[in-house]
Amino acid sequence: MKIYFFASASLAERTRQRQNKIRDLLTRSGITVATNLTPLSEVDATWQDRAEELGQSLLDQMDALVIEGTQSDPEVGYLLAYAISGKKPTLYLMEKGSQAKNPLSYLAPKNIPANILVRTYTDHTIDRAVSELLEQIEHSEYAETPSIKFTLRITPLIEQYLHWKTHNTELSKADFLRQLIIDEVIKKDEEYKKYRHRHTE
Amino acid sequence: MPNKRPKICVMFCGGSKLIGRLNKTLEVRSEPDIARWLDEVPELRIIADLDPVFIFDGSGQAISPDIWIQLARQIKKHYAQYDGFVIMHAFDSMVYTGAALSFMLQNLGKPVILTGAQENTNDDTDEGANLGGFRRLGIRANLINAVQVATMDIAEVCIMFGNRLMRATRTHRNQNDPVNIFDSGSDTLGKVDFGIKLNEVRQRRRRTGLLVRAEISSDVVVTGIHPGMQPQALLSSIGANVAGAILPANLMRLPKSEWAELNRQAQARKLPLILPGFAEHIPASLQYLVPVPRMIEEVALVKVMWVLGQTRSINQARELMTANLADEFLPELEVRQ
Repeated sequence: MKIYFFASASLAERTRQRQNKIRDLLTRSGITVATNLTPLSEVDATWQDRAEELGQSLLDQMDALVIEGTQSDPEVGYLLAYAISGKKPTLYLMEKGSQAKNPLSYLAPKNIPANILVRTYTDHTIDRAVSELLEQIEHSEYAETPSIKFTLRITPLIEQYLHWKTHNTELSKADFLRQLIIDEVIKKDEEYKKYRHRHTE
Repeated sequence: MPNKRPKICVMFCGGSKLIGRLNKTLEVRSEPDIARWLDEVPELRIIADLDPVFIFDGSGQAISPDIWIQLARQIKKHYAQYDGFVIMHAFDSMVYTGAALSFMLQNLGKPVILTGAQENTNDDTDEGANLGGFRRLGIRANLINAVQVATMDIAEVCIMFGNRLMRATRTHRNQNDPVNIFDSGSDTLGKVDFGIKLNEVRQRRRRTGLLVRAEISSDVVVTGIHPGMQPQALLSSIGANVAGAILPANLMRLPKSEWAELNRQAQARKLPLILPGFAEHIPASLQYLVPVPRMIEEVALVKVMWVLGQTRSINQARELMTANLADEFLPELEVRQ
């Protein structure tokens, strides 16, 4: 999973420490993190090539966004607009007591979709907020956009079954297989759940 | 940019086709469509306060100089009220409109950003069909990027499409790429990665009195010179009402001995012949043969239309044609045939 973590520019040492903590937390959860805390040149070149090929923003290559918006920054509103438009699971964090205006306040509540989580945080509650996002991604209809490709050779019997199963349905064979892996393999794998739990604590 | 909530004026001039929440296609074909259309993209209001202006329904008649004039005058009318302008526009004629506004809006101190969908109104043309599976991509992202750029520190007429922000006078259509349908080589003004990064070469915001010079002549043709063609034949192919002609092909196809005769006949008709990218020396006495630095083809056409809208004096026209008014001249390294 790939997440873009945006940290608003802050002069406060405490905020910067917290921002680094959020990034570390995401990384420890097994997530590939791209962030404005490091130069763009450190971003995986294949993502950039893909974005260029498709005429897209690098945000389109991400599965989710985490925005630390304790300081007012026009970039925060832009990222939130992009997240709403692209239906990206997004966690919008502000330190408790932050004076920054929440850009979502310009929207009517009915226009703030469920994929946007807004949380104020302290040192003690960051972990929980990040876990919430990861849970949302796991259970959400906005789950990861399929973007990783590999060749799977199948037998004629499997091909026949997939054809029979998806014929006259709106599902493609690939959609069917993806859903099957999520519903019947990942969701039922207790060991994997424990692994995820350990890494999001 | 002052530290207040930005105000952006969104002008509708075609190119507004988007897929709504209920999977229905929506577009602005008349003023009453605007409110519902904007309701489909509420997220834009996170970035700025938006006020819409309806210009043109984007269907049927092709975009025309009348629309360019209307756009320029509307921008002038609302100039003081807004931090920037976004123009929704059909992609197939966007370069022409961008070029026209670049020449018409002088002393521009705020951004004017053209963007739109990759699908036109009633688009059942081959061009629309060639966009294939990419047709539905992009308008929301284009819009968000365009509105964001309109709040930033830039003061140019630009095209925002895909992940590129391009100077309108340096943008050409990529005929072979259904996704990145506009390109400006290495001349991009900005790039979208995780946010929008503007390049240093851009013109920055400034307090200026906007000057609109919207007069434009539609009596311009693009024609060719071919080996063996006589000046008489070349000029007789150009209608009597034409005020200027662009000859993109190399004048060297005409023997030098014929240049004086071509100039004499052009002078008799008061018909300047514009020669984009022509590097050979032409004697100053042949004043109706006007060599100008190379430009994007569409931009060259619009510039000649604009220049001939400003003046019919050959000396003034020559002066304007050879002046780099909106960074329209391509660097030599970017020569395209």
